[in-house]
Amino acid sequence: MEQPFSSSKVTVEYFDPHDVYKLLAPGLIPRLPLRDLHWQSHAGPLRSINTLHVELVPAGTDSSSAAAAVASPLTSPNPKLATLQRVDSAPSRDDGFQTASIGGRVGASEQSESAGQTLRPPGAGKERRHQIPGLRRTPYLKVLLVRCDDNDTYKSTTRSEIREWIKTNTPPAQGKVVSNAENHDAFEWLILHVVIPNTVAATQPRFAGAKAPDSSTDITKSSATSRWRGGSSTLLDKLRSDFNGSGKSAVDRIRQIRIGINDVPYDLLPRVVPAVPTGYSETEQDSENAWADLIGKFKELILSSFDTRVTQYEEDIKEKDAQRGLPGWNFCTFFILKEGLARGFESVGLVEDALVGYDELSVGLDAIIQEQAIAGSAEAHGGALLQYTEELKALAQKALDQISRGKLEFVDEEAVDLQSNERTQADNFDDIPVSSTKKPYRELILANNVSLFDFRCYIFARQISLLLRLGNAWSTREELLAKLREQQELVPRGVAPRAPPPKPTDESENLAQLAEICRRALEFVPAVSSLISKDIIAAMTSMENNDGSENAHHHKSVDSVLLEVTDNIVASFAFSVAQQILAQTSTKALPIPPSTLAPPDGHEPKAAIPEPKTMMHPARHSSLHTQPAVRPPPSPNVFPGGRMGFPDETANAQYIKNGLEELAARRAQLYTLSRNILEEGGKKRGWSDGWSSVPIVGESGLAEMEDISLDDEATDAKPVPETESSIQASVAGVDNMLLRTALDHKDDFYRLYETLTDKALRHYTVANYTNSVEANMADLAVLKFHLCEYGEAAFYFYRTIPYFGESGWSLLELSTLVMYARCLKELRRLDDYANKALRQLLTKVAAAEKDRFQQKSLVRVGPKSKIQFPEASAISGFLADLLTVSASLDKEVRIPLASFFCDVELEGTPVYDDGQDSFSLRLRLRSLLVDEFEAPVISLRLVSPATGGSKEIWLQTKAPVTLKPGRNKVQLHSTVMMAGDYEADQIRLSSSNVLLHYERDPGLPPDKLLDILKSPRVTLYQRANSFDVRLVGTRDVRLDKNNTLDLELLTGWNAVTSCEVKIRSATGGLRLLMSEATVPGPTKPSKRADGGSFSFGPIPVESSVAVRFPYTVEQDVVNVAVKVEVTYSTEKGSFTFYKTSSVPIALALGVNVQDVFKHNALFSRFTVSTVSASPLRLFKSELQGSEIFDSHFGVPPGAPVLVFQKQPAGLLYKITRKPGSILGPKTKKTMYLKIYYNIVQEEIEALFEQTLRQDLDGTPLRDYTKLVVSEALVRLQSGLSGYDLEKAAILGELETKFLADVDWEKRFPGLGPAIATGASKDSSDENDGNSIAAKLAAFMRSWLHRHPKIVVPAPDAVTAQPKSILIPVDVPPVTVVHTADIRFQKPLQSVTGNADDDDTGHPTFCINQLIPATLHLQWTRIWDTAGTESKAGKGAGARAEDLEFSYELSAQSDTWLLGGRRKGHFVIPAVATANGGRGGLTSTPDTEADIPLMLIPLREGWLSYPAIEVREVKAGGGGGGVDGDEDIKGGGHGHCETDCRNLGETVLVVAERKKVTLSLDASGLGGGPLVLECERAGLGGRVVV
Amino acid sequence: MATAIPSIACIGVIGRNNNPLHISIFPSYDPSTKSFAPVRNPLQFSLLLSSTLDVFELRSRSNTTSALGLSGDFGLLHAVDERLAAYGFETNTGTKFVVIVDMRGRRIDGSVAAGLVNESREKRLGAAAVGLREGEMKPVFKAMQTAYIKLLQNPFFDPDEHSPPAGRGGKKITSKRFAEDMRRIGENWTPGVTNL
Repeated sequence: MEQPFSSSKVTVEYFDPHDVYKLLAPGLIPRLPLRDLHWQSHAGPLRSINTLHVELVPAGTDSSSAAAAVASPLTSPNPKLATLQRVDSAPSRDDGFQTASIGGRVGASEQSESAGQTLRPPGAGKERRHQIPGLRRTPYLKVLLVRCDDNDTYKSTTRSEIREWIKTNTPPAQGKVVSNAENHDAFEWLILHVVIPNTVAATQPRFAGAKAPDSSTDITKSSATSRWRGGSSTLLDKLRSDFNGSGKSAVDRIRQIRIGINDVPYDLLPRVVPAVPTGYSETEQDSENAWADLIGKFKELILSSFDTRVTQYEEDIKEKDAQRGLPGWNFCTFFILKEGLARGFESVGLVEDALVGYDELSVGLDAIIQEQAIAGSAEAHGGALLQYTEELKALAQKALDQISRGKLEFVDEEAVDLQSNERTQADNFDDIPVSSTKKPYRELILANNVSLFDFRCYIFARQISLLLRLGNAWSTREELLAKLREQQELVPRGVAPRAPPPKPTDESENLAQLAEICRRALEFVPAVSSLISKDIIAAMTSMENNDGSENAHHHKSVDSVLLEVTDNIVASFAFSVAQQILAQTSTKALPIPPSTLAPPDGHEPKAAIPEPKTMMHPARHSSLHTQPAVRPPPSPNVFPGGRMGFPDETANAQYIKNGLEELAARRAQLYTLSRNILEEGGKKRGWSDGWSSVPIVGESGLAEMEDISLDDEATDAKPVPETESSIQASVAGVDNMLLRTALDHKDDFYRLYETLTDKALRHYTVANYTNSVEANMADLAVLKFHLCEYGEAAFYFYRTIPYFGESGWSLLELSTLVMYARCLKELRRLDDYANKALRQLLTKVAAAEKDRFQQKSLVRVGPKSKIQFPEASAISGFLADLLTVSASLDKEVRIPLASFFCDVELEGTPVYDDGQDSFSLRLRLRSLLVDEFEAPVISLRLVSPATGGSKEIWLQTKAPVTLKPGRNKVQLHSTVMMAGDYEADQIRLSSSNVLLHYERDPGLPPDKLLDILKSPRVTLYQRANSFDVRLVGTRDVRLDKNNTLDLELLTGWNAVTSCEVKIRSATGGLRLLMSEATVPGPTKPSKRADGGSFSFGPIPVESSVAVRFPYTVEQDVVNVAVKVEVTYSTEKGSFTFYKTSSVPIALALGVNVQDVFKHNALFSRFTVSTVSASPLRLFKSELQGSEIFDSHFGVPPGAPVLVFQKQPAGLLYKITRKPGSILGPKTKKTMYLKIYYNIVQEEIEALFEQTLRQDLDGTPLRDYTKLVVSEALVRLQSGLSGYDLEKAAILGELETKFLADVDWEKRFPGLGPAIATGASKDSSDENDGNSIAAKLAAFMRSWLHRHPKIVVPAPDAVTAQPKSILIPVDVPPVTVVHTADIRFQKPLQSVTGNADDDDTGHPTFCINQLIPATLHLQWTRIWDTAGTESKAGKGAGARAEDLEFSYELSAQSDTWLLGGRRKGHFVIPAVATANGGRGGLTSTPDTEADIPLMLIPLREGWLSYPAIEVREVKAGGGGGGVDGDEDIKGGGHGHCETDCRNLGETVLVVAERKKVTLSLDASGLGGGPLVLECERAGLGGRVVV
Repeated sequence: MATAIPSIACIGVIGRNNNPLHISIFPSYDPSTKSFAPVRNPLQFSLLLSSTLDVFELRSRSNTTSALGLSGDFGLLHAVDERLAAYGFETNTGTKFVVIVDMRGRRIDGSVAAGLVNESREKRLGAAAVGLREGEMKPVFKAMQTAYIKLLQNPFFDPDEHSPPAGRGGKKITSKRFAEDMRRIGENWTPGVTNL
């Protein structure tokens, strides 16, 4: 209870016989309300009351209150009081507030101005007889204001007056048992001595001791001082001693207040200053203390009396509750009792406790009603409630009358009539339907004369008002402030208040409590609605029972009319309640933003939509209803003025508040509630809010639920034709002005609807209820759409649609999209229309359809449910719209294919057309569209995943395709052939300007979420007879020239009419020299274009055209690849063929040469080896002579020679210089070695291919020949090892075992199950998994089985077409070739005889034999073939010069002893040329040198000849003789060769013995035989020993 | 005259991502035509269901802060108009059940009332007299929860498919049995029914 301004009030009655109140009031009023009271409740914690408003009532001003207080007869005021009443101000104050204390009119807040006189309950007197407490509001405290100026006066008059007052006003004795009824009105009393300045009393000290201002010790002090000061005791002391009682429990009831001299009006101020000045003057502090003391006393006494009352009530309630089971127990009585307690709580500010009380009562009422309903009779228990409410009955009857009359007249007129007649009543019911003051509820309850409806309304009203107080509602607070102000204004003017008046602080409301009000209202409305209808029905039934003469037919029509009326009344009531609560809970603290959602082009500014109150008269139609526009609010208490301005003041309100969102939400719900009521009303009149006409699109599972009959009765309840529509469209019974106005006219209806929705929307926005905001926005959008305000509708739709789409409310989304689309169409925003609306719409529809389809496929088991596509018509046609609209757009409308289609799949494998090189794929797709989709072109792209998508094939439909909703199959054709594995990666459907596309990354696994192209792989292969291209490397390789490649075009079955070939290099570094291309065959190109393209004319079937073109490679590569693109046309159309062929260009053999130069001839030894693992078959070889050289070969081998990897072949050629050949600068010196060979592996491959072809030919698998062969060859190449090849080459046969464990099925993927061309196959065979791949695999296996060995025949040289290689052989130029020959002189003294005879060439000598010999040096220049062009200057120079050489003879020192000229120089003269020179090319005997030598062999054995070195003596320094050998190149004259003819020859040297005698025992040196004697053979001559 | 008693007008199951999982709509008795017809069209019901989500959000937030909300029953979410009121329940996994009750959806005529078992008849009459208490919806939510648990126990039902853990949207529940359960609940409930 933190709110400072509670409306709870406690009545404090003052009796002011001396007219001092006006003196007292300036000091007292500002100190009110009381603050910080603490009350210990009996059944709970300590309650603290922050503020307690005290209502100061002069005693006797109101007769009834006074009567109650003094328990005197109501009608006659207490004469004694009347006599005492000398104050004239009291009557003038009227009972503006005090009537609150009249029984039954509780709470000033509920006071209505006119109620004072007219509604004075006549039964007030009766209440007394009932002895029911809780009805009265009696003072909690009575104060007697005493003015007593001096002791004498006191003694003479004042004392007796006081005594008199006490006697009449207080209970006889404090301690006596009082009756319950009196305890309910328990009160306390207080005597307040008002001291006027300038009197004797004023001069008396406040306390006798004048020193103890402590109020708590007041009593003891005063009594003590009285003893001290004896006779001169102060007036206060006297009062105390006289009236405070004597007992220990006596309460101090005396207080004194001194009025300051400045506070007293001059005319009241006593002129005479008393003669006995005591010198006492009161300080400011003292005065303050006195006031505080007084206020404290007020509090204490009020609480005390309150406590007494509560105790009494609680006891009573307990008692009554215990009697609940007894017969005759009356709930109403109990109610009144308990309410009394609640009101007590309320009055002291314990609003929460009061609320609890009411809540308990509400529950209790429910229980009673329930029991009553079960028992079936109203009187059964707990007292009877009325079956119906009179007012409602009257209302209903009136409405019924209206309708029955209105059947003949205009309804409008009727309504006007009613309005004027029923003004007052309507107003009452209209604006504050729920108010506890509307009817004398308490009396009614007390009289058991209340209907359930009224009862509920009352409780609710009380709850609401309590909550408003709790919530410190703006209205309540205002009222309180007004009261406070009023109190303060009553203070006489001109007198400055002693305490500053409290500032009217703008305390904040408790928003949570306000929200609670709304919450309760929201619960109340539905509950009470059913009550009302029951009420009315009960009323009418009772009426009919009274006059039951009506026939059945009439009864029926009345029945329906009655229903209508009931509905109207209920709606009106509910609407009014909602409006009331909305008004009551409106607060500045709730910042409702201005309509931020104002449409961009809104023509009516809605930023400041006034409260619904003013909206009841829409500005547009103000002429129709003008009169109530300025009508003052009928109930100022509830609807205080000035509320209208609040939306403008929101700016400075605090924004963040506790419960702010809650309140906003609740208020928004109330607005929504009102709107829904309105909408229902409108629906009856056929004014739709738009939703009913909204197309419902594409939701499964809803439509099937609709026709459910719950009761048996329902089946025969046929819908009644709407004959009574005119009746139903009546506003009879609608009493709420706002609702009525709205329902009167369609425009008003829509305007109010919109306003309410907008308000709800804004409140929801504040409450942060996003979902509800969207929902409201959708409402607005639909409304606008319905009203054909497309611009705004589109705006709202635009905002809501994404929201619903995101969270999966597809039903809503679709429907709104449909409308959005229409809006945009109407607005001619074509771009948006196409791109946003239609596209999205169709997409969503398709998605819904897909869901539906999937769902259907899921629940296929079970009863077949017929789910029809609901309202397909709502969206049909949009597709066509989309197409037409998009045609006018600039940009292409791209839509993902998956939006409209699902289950897009390639069906089967490529189907190849017979007799031509085209194929087709079948694309299966399921259209999710409602309409047929006319697609001119559907295309599909295949890319090869391997080579990075560089290869692509587009497949297209041949003709426009119409895609029907559901499954479709589309045949896509392509005339492009490119064998290989592919993945489909793009699909495009285009129609007018709309492109449906689908793209995926080839190589990635298919997207699982999309069911598009889950198996995108396609394998294309070339059939046996299709157009083909074969790239062949040339068979005749020339190493010294650019080699050529042959491209063969094989037409197959195509009768090509024209053909264009484009050839491009596909290997890096490969350059095709197309300018040198030739076409060797008979068919010549029709047009020769450069850049590698050739055009051909007609080429017949099964023929081939070859193109031969040379190429170069930048670096050595094993294979070169060539891309071929052939575009050819036949009679059947034009086709394109792509192929990348690769051919190995690496040399299969390697050749090494070893040259041996002789004087007359050159021997070249060629070693031929194989490069690969495969053996070579060498057929023949030839060395072609050149212009200056001739070659000679021996006898060629009879059979081809096999060259293995480790066993090269050697070829020896003898080269001689052609006699008479003259070396010129242009002379071709190069010889060519041509080798004819075959590679065994190639032979084997060819064999395989041939065999396979043969075996496949004639089988149904013939078409796959190319595929099988290529696959087999691949396996072959990888499967054959070098060892296998060698074996095959040697044995002449190859085992095919190595192919047996190949998994052939997997080698042929993507071929599909059927043989497209094999017509003879029965279909069942094809379908049971006997796929092509399996057939091929079976074929391969059987083939391998049939051919365990392949015979590799040794080719005979005649038929074989070996490959050839032409290798240029250059004879290396050697400047000079020397021939050194050591000849022994003849006759040769050899051991064996004459050496000349020895053909074997082994002259035999003895050791130490002196052998005369000659060194014969020859030279020739014939091998000096260095061309001038190649070795410019050198060769020519060498030939042109004399060359000086040196020779040296050397031998190991232990073998030969050399004698003679071992070293020497000689000069070879320059070749004789035209410009000089003496010598020829070859040495003549003249120019040869014979150098005599003496050789002495030094040891036995085969001794080789001494070595001879010939070296060129360099011109620069002659030193080169010793170091280096003969190969070293001289100073620049090329190199020379020395042919040592003795190089391989040996001489046998034996010991010179004729006879040797040996001893055969091992007595010789080292165990050897002992030479006993030996005899030398005398060879004559000198014997050197 | 017959008395009107509340009946269920719509049952909605809303997933964790605020996506609708299931919506069943039940016709109410329309006294003017004497036939059964849904009081709103499916779109409006959808809209109503979606706007209750705010209340769910708010309540669950306040429940977690005050640690009250283990029961999941959120009571009255939203009084739509004087006839319709939405009640809500949220499971621990964030699935929301919304029941929109039509306060005047059924009529009890003498014939119907006489045929009822004594006890439930009393309850119905009592409820008709008092209106709907919040506790009345408990059996409905309990039955719905049971049905939902049954659905979850189906090994072929993938909850993540219907409310993806991260993200928006989700598929609807397509289980026939669940729909049948919902239908049964919606048709059989009247105030006072304790077991569905």
